[in-house]
Amino acid sequence: MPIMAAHAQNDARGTAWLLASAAQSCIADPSSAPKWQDALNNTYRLLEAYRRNVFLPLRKSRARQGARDDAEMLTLALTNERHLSEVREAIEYALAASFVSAPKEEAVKTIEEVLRAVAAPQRFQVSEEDKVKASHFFKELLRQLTDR
Amino acid sequence: MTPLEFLREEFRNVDRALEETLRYDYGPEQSKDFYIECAGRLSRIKLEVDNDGLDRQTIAALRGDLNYIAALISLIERSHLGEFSWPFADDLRELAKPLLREQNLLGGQSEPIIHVVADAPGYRIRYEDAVRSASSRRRFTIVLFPRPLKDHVLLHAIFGHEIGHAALEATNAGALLRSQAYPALTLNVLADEISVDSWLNAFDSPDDLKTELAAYHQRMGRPFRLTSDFRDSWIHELICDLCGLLLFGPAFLAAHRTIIEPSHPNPLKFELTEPTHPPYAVRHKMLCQAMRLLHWHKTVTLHVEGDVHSAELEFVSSLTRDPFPNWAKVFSEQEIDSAIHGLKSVLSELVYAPPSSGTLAKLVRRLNRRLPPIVDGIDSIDKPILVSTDFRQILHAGWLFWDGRKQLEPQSELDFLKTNRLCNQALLQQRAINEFLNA
Repeated sequence: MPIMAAHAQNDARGTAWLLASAAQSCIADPSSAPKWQDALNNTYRLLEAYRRNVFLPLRKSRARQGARDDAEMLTLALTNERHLSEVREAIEYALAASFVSAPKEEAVKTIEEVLRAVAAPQRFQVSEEDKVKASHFFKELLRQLTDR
Repeated sequence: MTPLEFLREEFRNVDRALEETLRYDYGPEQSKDFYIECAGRLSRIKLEVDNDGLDRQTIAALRGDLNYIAALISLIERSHLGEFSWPFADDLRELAKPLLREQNLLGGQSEPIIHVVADAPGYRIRYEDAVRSASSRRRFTIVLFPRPLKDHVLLHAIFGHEIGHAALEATNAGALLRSQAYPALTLNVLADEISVDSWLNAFDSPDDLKTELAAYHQRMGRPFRLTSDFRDSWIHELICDLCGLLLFGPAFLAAHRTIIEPSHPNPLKFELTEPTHPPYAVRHKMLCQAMRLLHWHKTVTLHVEGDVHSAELEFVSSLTRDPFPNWAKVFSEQEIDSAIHGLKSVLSELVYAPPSSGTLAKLVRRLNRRLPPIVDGIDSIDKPILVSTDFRQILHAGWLFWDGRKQLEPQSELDFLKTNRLCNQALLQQRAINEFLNA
């Protein structure tokens, strides 16, 4: 394993951490949202990938076989080294903690609506209750990502 | 130096690396997009780096993002035009773009930046997943061309399979492809672990495989099981094969057979310790079934085309020859038809449409005269006739020529490399024609 891999957050968990952290700050302080538009969009993409079950690329085994020499510079780290499954699990736990019994689909869509309302308040509105739930979700996600 | 100071140092280094990279002259349009996206990512990281109150977790995560951008920057230096077929790469970009497009938070769509590099071993397309970078605006898709095969555009039809993989990982297309193709392919043999097990141990399964399964059992102390992860991987590979066929037509099967068959000393067996791919025989049989269902096992050219028609007969019969036993048939015709139907609904206008009899014959005859296969001619007032021909039809003609060349008159002495080079040249000329027609 390369020496740089010693960075605990130098993987998908780190990216998810940055996204959850930006989303959490924007919900808490909507005036900061304009400068975090891309992070909010990326948080949306992450949630969509999770909702649509395309989060985990299934080529992990193939990567194990020979990817070490094919454009490794693309940081073609193996799926298990990138800790994608930990991010998925963290999202699952955070959803369960913040939306209790709501179906996954519904919960993710609620969070996405909150992100939209934060990114473009003049076009989209949501209830305070949904904002609180979404905020709880990101707080819990950050906690889960720290623990993994 | 504190972690934050080092992060800022790294930021400046990556920023400098990006500026230095621009000294080089690479593919014109793509390097601009590439630069803009990398510079944009850096500016978004800078928003955080400038903050004095960063915690260690954020610093570590930002370093991860910076390292990744540094890796991307180094890729631009590996994108020399002379190391791969750039007309093919451009066509491939146009084919992949609609499949990899994604929806944004506030509506609207983002297009991927498809960057092509030459690489050593095999064909690959790497799609940037949702947790690769927190600072991205558009996703990168990196296409890796095997450098030794830089002239072999006919083999590049195998990229149809790789586009399938990238599309399966894309949010919109991935979800659609799964929902449209999975159900049909998981009704019987690949339904679950038990059904795979019954198939592997069926009375008609190959003796070599039975011996290998028994040896595995003895060595590992438990019978072999195709776990759900690997079963999914098989289904993915098979869906990607069908995507490849639908996107590139008969040229895909020709490339698939040429590239994949030689790496399977026994086409009925598969790797038991890491069974990522189904046996080659299963894949070939499914593609032959699909060829029939799509009616691509029939000739496009009419009898009137004489030697080209004979060459095409030779081509389609050798292409759809299936020497493998019935055991390798894991799908019924109805199941494949249903999967094709589902995939077509997602790929829609991207699905390959074969040329007319006349066009295909013209393209093949040009090759036989050692000319790039494009449609040319002069009209009644001596003006050149310019026709837009789909690049995949040029590949189709190239394979027909190669596999059926013994039927052509006069017999061609072109070798495979020269045939490929002529096709590559045709792609270049066709691009110029298309640009003229679209101007």
